[in-house]
Amino acid sequence: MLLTGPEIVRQRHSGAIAIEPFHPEQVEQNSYGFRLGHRLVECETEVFDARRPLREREPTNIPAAGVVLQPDRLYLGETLEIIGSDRYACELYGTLSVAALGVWIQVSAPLGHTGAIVRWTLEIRVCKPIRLHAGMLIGKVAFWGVNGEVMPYRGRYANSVAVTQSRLYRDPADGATEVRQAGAMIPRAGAMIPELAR
Amino acid sequence: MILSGKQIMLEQRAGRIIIDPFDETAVNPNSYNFTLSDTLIVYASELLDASTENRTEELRIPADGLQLKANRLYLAATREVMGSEHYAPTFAARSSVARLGLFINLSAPLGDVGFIGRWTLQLYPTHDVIVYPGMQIGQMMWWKTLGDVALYNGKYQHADGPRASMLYRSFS
Repeated sequence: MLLTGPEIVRQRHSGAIAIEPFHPEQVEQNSYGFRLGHRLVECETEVFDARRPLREREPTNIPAAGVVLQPDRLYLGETLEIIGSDRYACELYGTLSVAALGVWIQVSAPLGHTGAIVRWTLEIRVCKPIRLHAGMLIGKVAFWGVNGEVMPYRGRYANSVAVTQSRLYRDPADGATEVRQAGAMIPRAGAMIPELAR
Repeated sequence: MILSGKQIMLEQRAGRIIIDPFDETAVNPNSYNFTLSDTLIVYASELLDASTENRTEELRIPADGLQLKANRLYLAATREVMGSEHYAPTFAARSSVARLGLFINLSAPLGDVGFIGRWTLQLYPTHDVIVYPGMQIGQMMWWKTLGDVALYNGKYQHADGPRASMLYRSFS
């Protein structure tokens, strides 16, 4: 079942959903509208290799005047908010207003696992050149009930607090999944999370 | 409701979800990581026509990888046969794959209850990217449905590799 806006508020209040910072006016009928964070990575035109680490790029801060994104480039951005739940799964989508400007905010990957309570990395791609601004409303997150016993998320992006490039190269070469990090710290929903929005 | 990883495992064991081959270490909190087969198909002509069967060519991904070009469409398939007569499936890229700018479907994540086969993926790189056969590329989710179930019996049923569009069959 998909949570309604009022239920998202209720579950956040009870600690089952984390959205920090939270503004009631961003609650939608069945989602919460999230904002674009400050950091952006512009991917250069090198070839990506699924098995090799990428060249680490320092994220740049989006200036007050905004940043112009170009088509045919890939950008990694981040949500302003830390979002997640250890009871519900979530999906991140663009808003109509942003989609109608020709902006993708993810590349066929909407799912946020139960237990991942992070500042989400967005894969941003645009149809036409466009100026984006930090703090603008860019997407919506919807929460889904989970059927069956919940498993904790112990993946490689647990605890992300900033835009994070792909760590796919950590997969072993034979295609088997990585050894999950044992004992990774999972922030609890509703707990105080340091380093919040500036 | 989306199934938890534990529930996916239980349903797979009970035969109510098909994932073959199945690897317990590929289970996530809400999904199952599936892998890329070594066969790709590409459309052979520049201009596609929605009303006709478009010519395709087959490519193999060698063990040491194949470089996919940005802004070109490749149809790929999962190595796993997947499906369920009890739950509705949707699929997504793994987050690590999306962060490489690789779409694995083009606004079409929703499958049908009753489809069982190898799934066709639409690989669309926004960036040149090298992919490998057997790499975990995407994740399948399952959802509880509400109402009577009518099982899929469409034109892609039991696909055993990437399938080019058969949309032309709906033109008379």
